[in-house]
Amino acid sequence: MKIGTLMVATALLMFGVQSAPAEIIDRILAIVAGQLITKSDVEASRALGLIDVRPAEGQSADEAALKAVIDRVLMLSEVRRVVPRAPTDAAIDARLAEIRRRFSTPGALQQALAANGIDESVLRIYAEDDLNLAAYLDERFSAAAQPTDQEILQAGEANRQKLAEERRRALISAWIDELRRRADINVLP
Amino acid sequence: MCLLVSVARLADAAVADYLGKPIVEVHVALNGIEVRDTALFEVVETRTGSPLSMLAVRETMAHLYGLGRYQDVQVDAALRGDGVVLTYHLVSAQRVRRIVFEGSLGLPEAELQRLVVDRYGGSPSPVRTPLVVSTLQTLYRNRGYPRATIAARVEPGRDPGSASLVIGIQSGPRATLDAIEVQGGQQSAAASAEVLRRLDLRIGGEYDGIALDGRLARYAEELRGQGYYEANVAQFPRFANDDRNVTLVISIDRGPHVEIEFQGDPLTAREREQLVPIAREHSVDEDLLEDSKFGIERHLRTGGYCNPRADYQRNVGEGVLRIVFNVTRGPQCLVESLDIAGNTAVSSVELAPLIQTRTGQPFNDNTVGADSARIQGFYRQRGFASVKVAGQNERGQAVNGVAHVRVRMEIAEGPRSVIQSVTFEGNSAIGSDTLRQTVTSVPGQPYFEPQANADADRLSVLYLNRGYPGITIQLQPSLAADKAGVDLRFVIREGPQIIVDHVLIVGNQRTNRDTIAREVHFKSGQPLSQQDEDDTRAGITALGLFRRVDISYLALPGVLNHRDVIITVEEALVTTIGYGGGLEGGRRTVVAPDGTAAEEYQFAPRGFFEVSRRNLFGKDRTLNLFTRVSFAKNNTADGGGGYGFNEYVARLTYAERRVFNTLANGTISGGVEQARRPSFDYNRHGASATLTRRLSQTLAVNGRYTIDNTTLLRIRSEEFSEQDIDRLFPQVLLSSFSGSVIRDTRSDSIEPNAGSLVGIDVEVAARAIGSEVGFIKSFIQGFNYRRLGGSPIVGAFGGRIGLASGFPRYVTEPGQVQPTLVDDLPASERYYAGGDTTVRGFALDRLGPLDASDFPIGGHGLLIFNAELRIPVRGSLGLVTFVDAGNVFLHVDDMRIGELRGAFGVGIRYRSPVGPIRVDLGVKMDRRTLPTGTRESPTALHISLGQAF
Repeated sequence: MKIGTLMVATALLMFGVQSAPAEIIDRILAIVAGQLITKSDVEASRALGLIDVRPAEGQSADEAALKAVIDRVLMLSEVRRVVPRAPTDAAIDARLAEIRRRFSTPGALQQALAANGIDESVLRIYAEDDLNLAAYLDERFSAAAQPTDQEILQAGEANRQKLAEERRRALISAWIDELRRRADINVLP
Repeated sequence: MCLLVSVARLADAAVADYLGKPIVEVHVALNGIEVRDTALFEVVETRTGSPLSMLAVRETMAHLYGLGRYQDVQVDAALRGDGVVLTYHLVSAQRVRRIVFEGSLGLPEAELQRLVVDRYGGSPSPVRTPLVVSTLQTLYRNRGYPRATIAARVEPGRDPGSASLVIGIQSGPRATLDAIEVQGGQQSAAASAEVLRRLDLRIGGEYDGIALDGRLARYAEELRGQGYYEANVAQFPRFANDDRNVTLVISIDRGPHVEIEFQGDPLTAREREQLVPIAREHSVDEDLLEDSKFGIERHLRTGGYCNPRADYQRNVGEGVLRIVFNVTRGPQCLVESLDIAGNTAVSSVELAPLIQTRTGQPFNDNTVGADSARIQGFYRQRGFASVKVAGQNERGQAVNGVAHVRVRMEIAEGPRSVIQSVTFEGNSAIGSDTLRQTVTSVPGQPYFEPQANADADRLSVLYLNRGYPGITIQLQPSLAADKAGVDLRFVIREGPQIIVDHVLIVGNQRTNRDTIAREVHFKSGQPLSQQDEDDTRAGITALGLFRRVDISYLALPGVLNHRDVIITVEEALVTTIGYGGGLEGGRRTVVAPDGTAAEEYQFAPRGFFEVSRRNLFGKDRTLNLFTRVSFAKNNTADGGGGYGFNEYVARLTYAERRVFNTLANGTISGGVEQARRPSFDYNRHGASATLTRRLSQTLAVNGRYTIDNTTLLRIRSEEFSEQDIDRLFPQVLLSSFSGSVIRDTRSDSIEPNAGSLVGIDVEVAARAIGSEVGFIKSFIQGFNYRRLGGSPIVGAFGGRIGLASGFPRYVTEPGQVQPTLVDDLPASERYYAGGDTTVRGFALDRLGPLDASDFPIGGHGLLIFNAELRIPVRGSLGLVTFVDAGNVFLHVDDMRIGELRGAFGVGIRYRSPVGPIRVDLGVKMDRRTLPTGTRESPTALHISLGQAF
């Protein structure tokens, strides 16, 4: 291509057409085991409360949100591998109601869904995923996280719940680290 | 094309500003440059004029990524008037095309390349670069370079999509051995020194852990060969002195010297070796000894000894482990009587074929157990789900080492369960009527659980082929209280139906997309069918152009039940070269000093060279050049000898699948050939065109046109100069059409053990199509292969019939007035028999009509029959015994079964990587006196490659 043509085309595009500045409305943020994670996925997960965003030191909220979505994708792929028992419709409806309560009006929910390219049927799947994931984590880690009698003696009965919760979090965290090690994760710059 | 300057900023809540507005323009830019590739726009779901939907944006991003050519997709939007301008920014995916090693490697580059390619593939993802480095670091440490520094970087290539993985290595010096200790084994210093000598280890020597592992394994193998079956040898290196040195401990645990002794009733050496595999398994652990004990007892029971014992003892002495098997056969047991009781629903006559235990035969409780299991299965198929068959064996006193056993099989039939109803629950996509037609269990039939399970599988397949990958089907049979009736219920969870969105083909560099797309059975908008996946995979694989074919499904963000089908191919090498050499040998017919035919063993070196170019013009087309030459003894009529390149082939073949967009495959071939037959040599040059159509997996038809010019050379048979056809046409142009039908159900084309091959071939040559001589020739062949009685022995049987007739033609010879009638086939087209693939008691072509000097003259009728037992002996070695019969007849009218000549013999087969190497010795059943008055040789030896038929 001749340089002159290039410059004219560039000038036309930049100045010749009365367009407002372009804004990135979506992009691929990461590829996890062949599955795309887009900006709209992350935003939808935050808006719908599917992830718990807790930025670590030196980490931005966006980075923490992406990490949480990657973790959720990895965990769900493990959960699907074991073919979970389908949650009841009532349980899914209850979870959906929880999600809806995050929005002031039904219109606000619809706006968030449209802005992120998902519809009610996908939202229902997200709710079902949440329940499956919670059931899997309970089944796999809750019993293993219970403190021993010795530990209760040392920490006191009042701290039983706290101890169990801390250990459960640690076990899940170690499991996710292992999932991350095994998976091909490509976070785009 | 124009440059798109990205001035986009990240939108947060701004997306809502664009949603629902009409799209006025859609652009796609690759690495900042606008592209107008229509193939790209085919997958763009956001169309000009439509309101902007994020669902369509997300879908488009997934399609674009699914193409496998881009590592990043960004979408920006800008307002123009009341509309939106959308731009998809693509960034080329970097594929590593080259792996480059640089620096001071210390190790062979080929080894490094092999390791990386084996572990991460020839085109590793740049994401895996740290893993590649880690793998190499481990290798270098194990090879004695613990201080190696390794760094890798991805360098973009000239094409933005390609990159090189450059791995820089500074191996540093190899660690040396500063101390070596030998632990265990022989304790003396001299013995330790001997071990170190054997392992090639010395203080100050360089350490290479991987090479040392190999030497240790060989040393351990030697010890096991000396009877130390539990020998264990290992190395324990410790890097010291800032990784400059290695302190090495060699641990040798020879274990005891194992001696095996058999006492009591004798076993043959072969039985001992097979039943007590201590030497073979290099182990004397308890499990193996237990297995050996049970193996001996089972073996003796099979021989009719009904209470054998093979107890063993481990006697540990000074460095010696003596294992003593005490074998007691017990009395020989014979079946005195066999009674079946308790059967009322099934008669004893119906059960009789299921029972292999026979009165008067050796008693074997394994056989009785198998009989009971067969009876049980027979009942269950008829709905007696709770049937029990108990074998009761009553043994009498042994007299003279023989005891008689009365066998009684007591059958408790239980109630017969009949299917009362078959119902389906949870199905909405497929009606119950369709499901009912799919299952074989119907009301009124006996209930047989395996059959009902198979029905559930059939239903699953039906759903999978209709796009329900999440289908689960649960079989829930409900038995009535009296167990006489069963209500069969299939509980179905269909899951969502998945629809094919786009079919994306990825990875083809040279191959035209249409060539692959022709084999794709998926269709956009149709259900994602399992059958389509299987057919697509099989079709693309059968192209032979790819070393890998993967089919995966990409979920589209925000669209629940649509998937992009991504077909990823990895192209095979386009050019392949093959070459090889060998020695052919066997009994050949030669010219004796007196001009008559004689036989002698001849050996000739031969070689071949082949080059193939696949994927011509990106289509499924192949060009192949094959050449072969033998350096064989000349065998001229004047008795001249010497060696020359008197047998050769050079053939160029062009092949194309689905020629002219039909279902047929086409081949055009042309070349020259010179070959030796016992009575003449010939030179042929010609060409042929073949169309093959496969009608099913096993049935194929083909049609062929051939034109060739054959010249007879070095004619050794005097008869040829007397036969009109050969005298008038020593050089003959033949133009022929032929057609054949082949049905091939063989389990393997090289070494079949089941199935059959049947073929019929008819060829017509006529002057009307340019042939100098006209004839019709047909050849029918049939072969069958089967395992005999469940044993590994394969029986192979074959029959071949050839019938030919020439079209009469009058030829006026120069100087003659009367024309000569010619109605035979030319020598090169006539049938011959004898040799390694026909009747093996005869040398090549030596069966059939001979001239006055004993040279074969061929004929117009051919019959050959073969029967062969192929017996595996050990490993790759096998034996065969065979009986062949056949003959060649001057004319079809002369063909008589009574004139077949027979041969029998034995052979050895060695299964080599290039096919079975074969040595057969055939012996004639009747030796005859030849026309010259000499007697036929009694045998013929053949050495060749591949089975005889």
